[in-house]
Amino acid sequence: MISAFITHSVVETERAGALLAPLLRAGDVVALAGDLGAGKTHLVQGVARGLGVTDPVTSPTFNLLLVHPGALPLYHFDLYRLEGARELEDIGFFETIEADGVSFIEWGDRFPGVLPHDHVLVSIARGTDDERRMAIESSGARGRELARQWLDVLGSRGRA
Amino acid sequence: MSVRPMTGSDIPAIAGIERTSFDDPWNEALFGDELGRPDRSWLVATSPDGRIQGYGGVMVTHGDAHLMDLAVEPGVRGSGLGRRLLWALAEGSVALGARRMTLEVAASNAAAVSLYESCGFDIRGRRRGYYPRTGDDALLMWSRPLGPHLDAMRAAVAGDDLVLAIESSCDETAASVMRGGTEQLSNVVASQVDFHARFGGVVPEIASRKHTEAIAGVVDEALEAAGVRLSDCHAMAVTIGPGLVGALVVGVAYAKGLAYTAGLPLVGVNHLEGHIYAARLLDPGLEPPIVALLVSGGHTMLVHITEWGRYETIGRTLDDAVGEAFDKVAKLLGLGYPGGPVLSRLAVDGDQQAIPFPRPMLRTDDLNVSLSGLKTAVIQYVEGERSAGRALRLPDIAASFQAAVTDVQVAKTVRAVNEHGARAVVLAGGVAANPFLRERLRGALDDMGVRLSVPPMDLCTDNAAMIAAAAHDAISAGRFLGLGADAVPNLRLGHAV
Repeated sequence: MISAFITHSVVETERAGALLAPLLRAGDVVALAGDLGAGKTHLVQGVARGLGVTDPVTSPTFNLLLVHPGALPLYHFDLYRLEGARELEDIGFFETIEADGVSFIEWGDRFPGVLPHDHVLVSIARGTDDERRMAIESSGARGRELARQWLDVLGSRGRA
Repeated sequence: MSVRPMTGSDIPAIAGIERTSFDDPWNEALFGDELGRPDRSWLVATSPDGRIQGYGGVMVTHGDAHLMDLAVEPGVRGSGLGRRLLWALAEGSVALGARRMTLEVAASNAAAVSLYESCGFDIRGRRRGYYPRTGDDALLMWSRPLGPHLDAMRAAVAGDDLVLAIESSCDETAASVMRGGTEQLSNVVASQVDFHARFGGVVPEIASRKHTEAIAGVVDEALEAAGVRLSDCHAMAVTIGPGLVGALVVGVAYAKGLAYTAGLPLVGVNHLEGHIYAARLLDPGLEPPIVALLVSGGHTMLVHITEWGRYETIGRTLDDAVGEAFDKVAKLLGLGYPGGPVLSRLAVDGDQQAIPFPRPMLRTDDLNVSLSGLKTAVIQYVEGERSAGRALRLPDIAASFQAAVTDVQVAKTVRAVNEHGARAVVLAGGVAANPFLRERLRGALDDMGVRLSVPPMDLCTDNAAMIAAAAHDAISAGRFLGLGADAVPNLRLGHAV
């Protein structure tokens, strides 16, 4: 299933993330794809706000994984610096995404086949100026359910 | 503050503090009964004018000291007085033949539990419903061997402590031996080059497996280069956060293992605090109040240091770290990753006014910065030039981008200095290597008569000497870790270790 929505500002992108937060359950995995500057971190900042995370949520590029306590633990990955899928073992990727929290994975499309069967993939493309097109693909029963619920709340509030 | 043995005339004042401190206080008769017993040590801490501010007592049996009571007047809690009293009682306990100390503390008394944990006590058990009045559980805590902790504290106060430190919070595996918090006897950082030589092939670039392979060799090399044995050291220090959990745990587990087998005290250091201490290593006259600008691949923050060991984060990046922004723009320009240093070299030949990139947050009324908007502006500019078929003037882009980043960092630092009345600025972290940032900051601060302290290059990037330097002050103050301690991946500055 592929659907898409458009945001027109950083604020709207964050709001889309905040609307996803209450739908999340432990074990959910959301992968984020898109070039530098697409707004992946902004979307996760919105999710964090929705989960009641009080930590500052900054880019995890250097640290590879930042953990934020919230209504559910938020595991914020960034695979940008990794050279190969085998390094995912080194950073505890597979244990973490199966743990007690929700995982958001920036550059989650870098290594095909490493995402769990159930997941949502958000591919963000830059439009003109601050416009962003977010394509949502989902896999697995839970992935499809989460994507559908998210699109429902986005739809019910207008364009994000 | 001074500490002296308790006398009978102290009891009314002590009983007063006791009543404000516990739900089930001891009465004056109970304190009186303790006086003059040969297996007891009771001490009071007094203010300069002789007023009693805290007290505590131990009973020593069969080589174990039982902490019977420890309390501090409400107004001076959190000032380090409880910690000093505890270590004074430990000294009294050792004099009475004790090796270790044990105590019970109400599980709900978070401040007390945290004090004992920060003196190296571990929670070993729980007594359910131990306190009859409240029904609260008691935690049973045990110290590690007292003697080596007291020895380390004495050595640190005398400036003669020998500390072995380990750092493994991100990509670097590092170890260092340091004397007196300033004299580097060794400082070993395992670089990627070493790995290829040592393991003769491809090695994982990142994190725990690399650290696991390297740590034993790096620590041995640090001891050997320093010409000391582990048993000569007074304490082990280790970075406990912030950082990548899989990387941190390798260092923490190895340090705990060495501390246990060698019977050494263990000290936990905040990685960010280490970066600040790196500046003091070669600038011993550096004194608070200080504003530190910490800029690296993973961190960008402004920290107000009111005194050594007390930090307040007063500004931070809302998104990307400075080093990360440099690296990402470098990659965008085809300079490879990490490409920050390449970008800054390229900028030397460019015109910093060629492209008017935005200075985000420059006019906001706080000390935070944001770099993702600037990153996006560079991307849009590059795409615009490419689609117009124009060749990219890389030096100009590099110089203009670097100037935009630097302008904001310098302006926010100057603002922080003015707001907090700092007399010195520390520039630390990997990006402190950037010559343009150094020069601009120095220029701005010279005009204000403010001292700028920048660690030498090998101490700006991740290393263990800075961890040893920070550990020295922690040992002097009696701050240790127990063996139950864990890595804290999202540890913040200013939180107790």
